[in-house]
Amino acid sequence: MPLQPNGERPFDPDPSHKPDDGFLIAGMLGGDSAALRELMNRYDRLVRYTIFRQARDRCTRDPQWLDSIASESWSGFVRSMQRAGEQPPKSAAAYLARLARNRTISAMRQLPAESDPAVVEAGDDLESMSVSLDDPLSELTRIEDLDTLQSCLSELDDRSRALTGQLEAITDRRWREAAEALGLKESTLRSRWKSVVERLSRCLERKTGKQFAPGDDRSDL
Amino acid sequence: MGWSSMNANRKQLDPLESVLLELKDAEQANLFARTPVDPAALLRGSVCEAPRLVRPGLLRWVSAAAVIGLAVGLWQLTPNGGTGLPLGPNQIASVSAPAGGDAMARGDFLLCFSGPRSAAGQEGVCESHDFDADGDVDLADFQAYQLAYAGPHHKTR
Repeated sequence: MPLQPNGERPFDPDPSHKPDDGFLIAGMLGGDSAALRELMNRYDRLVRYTIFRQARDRCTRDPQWLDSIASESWSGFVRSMQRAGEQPPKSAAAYLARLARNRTISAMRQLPAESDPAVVEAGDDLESMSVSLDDPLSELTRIEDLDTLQSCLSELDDRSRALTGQLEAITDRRWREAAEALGLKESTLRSRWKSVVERLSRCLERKTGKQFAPGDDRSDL
Repeated sequence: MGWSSMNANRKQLDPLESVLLELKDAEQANLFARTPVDPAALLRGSVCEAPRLVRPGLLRWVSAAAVIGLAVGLWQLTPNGGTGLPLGPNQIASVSAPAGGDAMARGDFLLCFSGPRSAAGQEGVCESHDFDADGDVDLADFQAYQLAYAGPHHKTR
C-alpha cells in the first residue's frame, strides 16, 4: 500500500498492508517527510504516554512541558537515525520509548529547584523513574484502553457522567465524607458509584476483551 | 505493571477506578493531542519545537552581555582601568581593528581579553589587541576596540 502524503489513514491491522519501521526509517533518512509522518502516526502516542507515565504530575500541571519533551524526543530520534546511518534499531518503538524516557529524566533533573514549588513532587517523579519500561507494544495497548474508556464514558447517561466528574472527591475520601461533599446520602452514593463502575467495566470488557471487574466494594479506610 | 499499581499512593482502588484516574490526568495533560512537530521541518533540521518559556543557554548569554555592558558603562564613568589615564585621541586614532573589525576579529579580541594587569600573552596574536600598550588586554582596550569596530560590511577607518 503506497504511503499517503498526509499520513492520516487509520491503523491497518494487516501487516502486509503496512511498510515496516525499517522501510520507513530508510525513507526518512532519504528525506521523505511522509515516512517520518507515518512513524509519528504509529508512535507519537507511545512517546507521549512514556513521558506522561514517567512524569505524570509534571505533565498534568504543565501540558506544554509534555509537548516540549515529546518534540525533543522526535528531533532526537531523527538526529540519532541520521548518525546511525544504515544501522537502524531493531525496534523503533522500543528505541523511541527509551529515548522519550531518557529525555524525561534529563528534563526533570534540569528543573530549577528554587523557582519551582513543585520540586518535591518532581523528586517523587524521579524516584518512580527507576521503574523499568514495560514492553512498548503493551504500552500502546494501555493507551488504547484509555481511548476505549473515553468512548465508554461518552455512552453513560448525564447523571452518571457527572458522578465520574467527581472522581477524586469520591476516591480520595471516605464514603461518608464524599457523600456529604456531594450532597447525597452515603447509601445513594455507594449504589450509584457501584453502578457506574460496573457499567464502565462491562463496556471495557466488551470492547477490549480484558477483565476490569470491580471488587465487591471499595473499603472505607 | 498493572493498572492498579499505577496509583500505589491511593488506597483500595479497584482497577477501573485506577484507569479512570489515569484518564482524567491524561486529559488534563493533553496526552491525546499530537506533538506539535512538522516532519518536513524536522528533516530539514529546522525544528520548530514547542516553545519553552525559559532557555537556560540563552539566559546565560544575555547575562554575560549584561555584565560586559555594565562593566563598560562603569568604565566610562571612571578614570581609565586603574591607570588614571584615559586614552588620548592619538591612541584611539591609532587603533586599527584587524581584518576590518569584523566578527572574526571580535572573536580574537574576546579570546585575548584577560583583564587588567594580566600579561597579554600569545605574542603576535594578542599584542595587537593591547591598544594602549600597558601589557594587558583590559576594558580600556575593549573601549578602544569598540570605537574602531565597524561591523562586518564596513571598511576600517
